[in-house]
Amino acid sequence: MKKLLTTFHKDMTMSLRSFYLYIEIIMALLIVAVLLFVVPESFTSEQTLYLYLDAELPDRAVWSDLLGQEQEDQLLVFDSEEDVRSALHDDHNAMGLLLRQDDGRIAVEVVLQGYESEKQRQLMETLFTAQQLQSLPGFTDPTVITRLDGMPDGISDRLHLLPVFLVLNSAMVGLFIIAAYIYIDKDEGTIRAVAVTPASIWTYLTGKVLMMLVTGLITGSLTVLAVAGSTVHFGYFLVIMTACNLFGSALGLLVASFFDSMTKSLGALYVVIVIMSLATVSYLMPSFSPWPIRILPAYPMLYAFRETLAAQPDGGMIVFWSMIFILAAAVLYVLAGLRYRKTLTI
Amino acid sequence: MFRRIFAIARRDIKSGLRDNMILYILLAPLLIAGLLRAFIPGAGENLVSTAVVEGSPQTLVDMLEAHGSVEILADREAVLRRVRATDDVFGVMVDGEQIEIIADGQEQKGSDTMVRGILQVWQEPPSDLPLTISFSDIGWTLSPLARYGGNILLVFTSVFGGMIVMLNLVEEKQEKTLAAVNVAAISRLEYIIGKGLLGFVIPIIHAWLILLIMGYEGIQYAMVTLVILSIALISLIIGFAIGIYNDNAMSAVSSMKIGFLPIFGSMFGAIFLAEKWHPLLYWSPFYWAFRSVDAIILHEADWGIFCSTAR
Repeated sequence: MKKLLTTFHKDMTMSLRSFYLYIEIIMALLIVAVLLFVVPESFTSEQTLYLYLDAELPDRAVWSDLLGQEQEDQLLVFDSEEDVRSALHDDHNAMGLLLRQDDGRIAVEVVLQGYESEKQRQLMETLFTAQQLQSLPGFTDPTVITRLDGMPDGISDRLHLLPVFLVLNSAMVGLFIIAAYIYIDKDEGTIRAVAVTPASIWTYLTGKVLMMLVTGLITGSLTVLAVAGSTVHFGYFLVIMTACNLFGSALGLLVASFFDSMTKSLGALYVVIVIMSLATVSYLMPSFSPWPIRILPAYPMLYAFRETLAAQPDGGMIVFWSMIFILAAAVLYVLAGLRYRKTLTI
Repeated sequence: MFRRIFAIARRDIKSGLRDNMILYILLAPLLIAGLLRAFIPGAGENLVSTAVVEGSPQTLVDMLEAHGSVEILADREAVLRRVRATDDVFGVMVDGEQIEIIADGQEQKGSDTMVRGILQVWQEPPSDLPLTISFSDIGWTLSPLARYGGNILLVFTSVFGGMIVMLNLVEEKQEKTLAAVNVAAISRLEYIIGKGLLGFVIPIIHAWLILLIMGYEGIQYAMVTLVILSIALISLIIGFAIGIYNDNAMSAVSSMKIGFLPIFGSMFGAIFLAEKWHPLLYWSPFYWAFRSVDAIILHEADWGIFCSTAR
């Protein structure tokens, strides 16, 4: 234990001397600044609508309210159907609406781009019908919503985004950096110095992992407390951050053990990080969640971190994933250790 | 001169091939592009994911399936567990006239409104409404996910080429092998060009292959090459700057990590920010690279606009 503490102390001193820890803290502060001052509390983006109105229909203001478009520049009225179609060719994120009088009724033609799936069209049609249903006299809503987290409006868009930064910056900090540490020790001959001390390979590697854990906990706590404040369940946060950080460091150690230089190992780690980042795409866009993305470790991490921000978090889910990541970290760590025993001169 | 430059590049390729590193670097982005291509057509199929208990009305299951995905589970407890699990799934329980929607509470904003609307129409199918709806399209089949996904991958791999060259140089600096260049029959300029060659060639090969795999039509490959060369050069300069100001690899790597923030910020800002906020990103070369590739994919690019952004 004493040997481990000495190694850990040495690593922490080294990270302070090389300004590494300060750079990580600056990175965390930058993320806090971006989340607080650039990302709005709510940023639900509405699609731009290009509208054509039959001459007999009420004017634009009436339709603006009906279509729920709050901002002026999100509803543009055109003089002809052709103009709407032509504008859609110039903006492939927009949608067109052609409204005509048809035998005493109003016929709405939705002009889409062409990439929308059959289910998306079906959903639009159903929601359009539901909207009319709700405006009928005597309509009573048969649905009630039970929210398990006890928050009537859910979490804000900003808090929804926070887990992305927590996972990629703090939880996965070791994945990228731990290899660099080991190669520095190799290059500077520190490993040879360690070889003549009673420290084992496990003490040496654990010291590195603990240093990464402290870095992840400092930067993660700083970010979550500054952005979420008292909303976060800090105990749960520390548990999942510890588990994910250990997993990231163990994975970094294992991947790096297959290469003989920092550059080569960073190339491989970079690829691992880009693949892990794909999980954020599905997290931010749940309708795109193919199984290869769902099996990535970063996928449950994102949801577990989000759970710590709920009013009544599901502790079972957070503890379950924490256990899984700690177990996985232990396996990866042992595998990495066995490889380093052969390659490092300790 | 060229012989010496190619000798340096050949040495890096040889060293990379020895442990298959170049193969990994070459194949990984192509694999991601292949995955995107394979799974993008399924995006938008599951806008609404739900879980119901066994014995729920078949019409309800059919209705939910027509709009997304449905899981049929044993009892309410199983539904609650499913809702609490990692992704965004709503539980739907029918009790006589009343329908209970069970939400975890942190799902994407507005998704509960969609489930509510579907269930209202299922419960009370309207017969005579004042408005009728029909659909048509303009025949544009390239989804935003395909359009932006390939572009992000392309810009990112271009940056990666520059970063690898920078790391190679930092390593040589650390191992003091750079000093050997001073006594070798090669000038510094030849050495730097030789070292940087792969940082340009690999991203260009990547870009072409990614565009082919993603299946974009009518791509102007000469324009793509120009954008990639520009962005790879900028990445190389950033890499050199990081290398100069950092004494050891650890702080160089973490500085590089800070560099990812503007890269991602520029690309996601270009996608999600309203046009009026885009001037805030004009300083970033990655924003212009992203916009340029987007214009090529949309067939809107011409050489006039192009040369000004590539500059």
